[in-house]
Amino acid sequence: MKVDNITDYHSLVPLYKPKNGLESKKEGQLCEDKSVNRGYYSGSSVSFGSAAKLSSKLPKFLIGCNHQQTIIQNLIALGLALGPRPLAILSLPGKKNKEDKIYASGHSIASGLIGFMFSCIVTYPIGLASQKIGKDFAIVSNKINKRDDIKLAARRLEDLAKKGMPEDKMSIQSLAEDTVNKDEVMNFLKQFGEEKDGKLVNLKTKDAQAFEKAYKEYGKTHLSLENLKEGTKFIKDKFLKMFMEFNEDGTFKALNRKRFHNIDHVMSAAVMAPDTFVFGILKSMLTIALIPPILKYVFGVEKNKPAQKPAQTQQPAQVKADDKKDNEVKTEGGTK
Amino acid sequence: MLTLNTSYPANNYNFYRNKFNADNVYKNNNNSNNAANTPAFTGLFPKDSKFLEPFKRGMGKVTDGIAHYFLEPLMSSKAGKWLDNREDAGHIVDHMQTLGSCVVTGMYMTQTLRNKEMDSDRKKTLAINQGLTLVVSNIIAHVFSRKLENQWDKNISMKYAGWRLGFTKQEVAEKLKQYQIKDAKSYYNRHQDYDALKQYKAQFDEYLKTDTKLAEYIKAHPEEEALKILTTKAKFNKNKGYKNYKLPNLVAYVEKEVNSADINLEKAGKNLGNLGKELKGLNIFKSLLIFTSVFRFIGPVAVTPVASWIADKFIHQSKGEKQTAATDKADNKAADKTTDKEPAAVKNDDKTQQVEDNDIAAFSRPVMAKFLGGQK
Repeated sequence: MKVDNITDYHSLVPLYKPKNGLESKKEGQLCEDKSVNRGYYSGSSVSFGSAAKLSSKLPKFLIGCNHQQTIIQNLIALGLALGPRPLAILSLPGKKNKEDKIYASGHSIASGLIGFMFSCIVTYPIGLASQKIGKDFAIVSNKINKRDDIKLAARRLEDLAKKGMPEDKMSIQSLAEDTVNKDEVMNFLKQFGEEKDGKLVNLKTKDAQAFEKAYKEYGKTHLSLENLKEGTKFIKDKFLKMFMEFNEDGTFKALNRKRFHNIDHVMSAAVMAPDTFVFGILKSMLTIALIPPILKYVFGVEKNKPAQKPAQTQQPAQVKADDKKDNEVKTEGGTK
Repeated sequence: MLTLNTSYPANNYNFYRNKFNADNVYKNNNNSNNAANTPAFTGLFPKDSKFLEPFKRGMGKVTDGIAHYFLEPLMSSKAGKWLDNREDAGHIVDHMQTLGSCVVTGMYMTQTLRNKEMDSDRKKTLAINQGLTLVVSNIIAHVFSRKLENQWDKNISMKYAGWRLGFTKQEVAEKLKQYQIKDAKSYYNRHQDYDALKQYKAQFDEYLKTDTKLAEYIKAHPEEEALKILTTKAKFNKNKGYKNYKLPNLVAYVEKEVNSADINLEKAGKNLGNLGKELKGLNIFKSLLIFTSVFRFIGPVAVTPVASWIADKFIHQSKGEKQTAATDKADNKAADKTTDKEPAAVKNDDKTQQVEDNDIAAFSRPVMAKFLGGQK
């Protein structure tokens, strides 16, 4: 019997081991996470077992980093306190102070745990509060972004007006290119003409200044103080005036883009400020106070008392004997 | 001709899929009471637990209060306005961690120096260790953070963005570059009549005469001319580029790209609306990782031997010199009288040695316990 051909009929897709599980999106392979689907493929087209869980948790974790900086910081510290630090302490040279090393390792673990728990309890509500402000700020940002899109479309119309409004460049797609809020841009463009076959036709005006005036009017009405605060709960006038200028009647005047983009950083600083200036000290004091009982009653490790030295006990006896002699001399001879 | 089927059934998706379907078909076809045997779910969809509702409501009120009366006023305070205007506000997480470490270490040093139970030499040693750890850790952390910024962006942030958008790292880098070229061109075209930019362009043209390599590059890549004009870091612009222009970074690109049609929809992940926030979170995570690792591990481990050397050299040595001077005096006095105090002089040296040994042993414990265990 001669074997001329060895063919694998069923595994048409080449089997390979995914590097970290995140790139594996091939169908037809065995899912090894038996707790998910009893050992055979369930039909999910995203990725396998643990990789799928990671792929949904990691984005949430990273979004959480924006608001829960203190908890993440203490989580990293906890990871260090549970692993590398005790190992480093225990690997220090010197056999005599083994108990000291064990005590110090326990100290490290306990301080990491206390710090993490304290930060979770105390700073978690602050992080949640910053998320709420973040959502309100996102509402304000969307309104500003809409105005930026309108401004971009209006600028394009101005440029075309200077060139005599060539018909071949009046397509809606090119006017609204790189904008995010297409509907809003469409509504803005419709006030100048009609849409026909994807182009803007029957223009009411070809004056560049009219387009500039229109987007400024849009900004005045849509970015007024009252309009920006609409739909928000925590945004106040003072907050908006940090990065925007308003006229006396509350209508929009100007936007400081650098300050606008820095608001996220200001929020990070505000979230970290309580831990930096107040809770960090409290946490350290609590750690110092709680560690000895935790080590004693939880880990069963206690600080060694220094051993009594016999040489020292002789000296007080000698001193006492000397004093006695002196006293005797004094009493015999009387004081001088 | 013989063809061998080498596929092993256990690794065969189709085998098990067909088997599963076959089993189910068999069950369904051979059971006349399918409706009775099929479990019917008649309840409503599960809602949030009522048990946790009061807690959630309370938490909501607390967080509302924190947002309304603390966070928002803090952000719009003078300090917030000052911070909002700064150029390096992007590194605020680094600076806040530095401030935090200064506050806590200051507290520890004060506590150490006021401790009446310790002798003054040990206090000084510990205080030196704490102060040195603070300074050295901050220097190391800031240097690491700045040096790793570009590498982190290129290797980790871009790879993550690529994974979420369905592209490779190189594709993301190329798309980002194209986006930056387009943005710079658009900015330059809009502002080329401005006096500030005209002046800057003149300075750039002068500089180009000295930098032939850059001139050749611009000649070979004319579409990148605006980008090079606005971003070239040369001595004439104090190594910053054109100060009124900010080159869009990966986050800015991603926030635009997510809304465009140019995503690999087959491979892209879900919920891309917050991708910009995820990348910002990744940068914050980088800062937290570097600073925490340095403050809690690398700094103390690196500084402790140096601090103990300083303590041995300048404090214990000087203390040792004082003690030997004191014992010399005592020896001289003893030499005048023929008493039993000579053995006592020898015992005093033993005591000095014991004190030194105790100090080192005692030093290592609080060092490990306090600096590796308790200090930020």
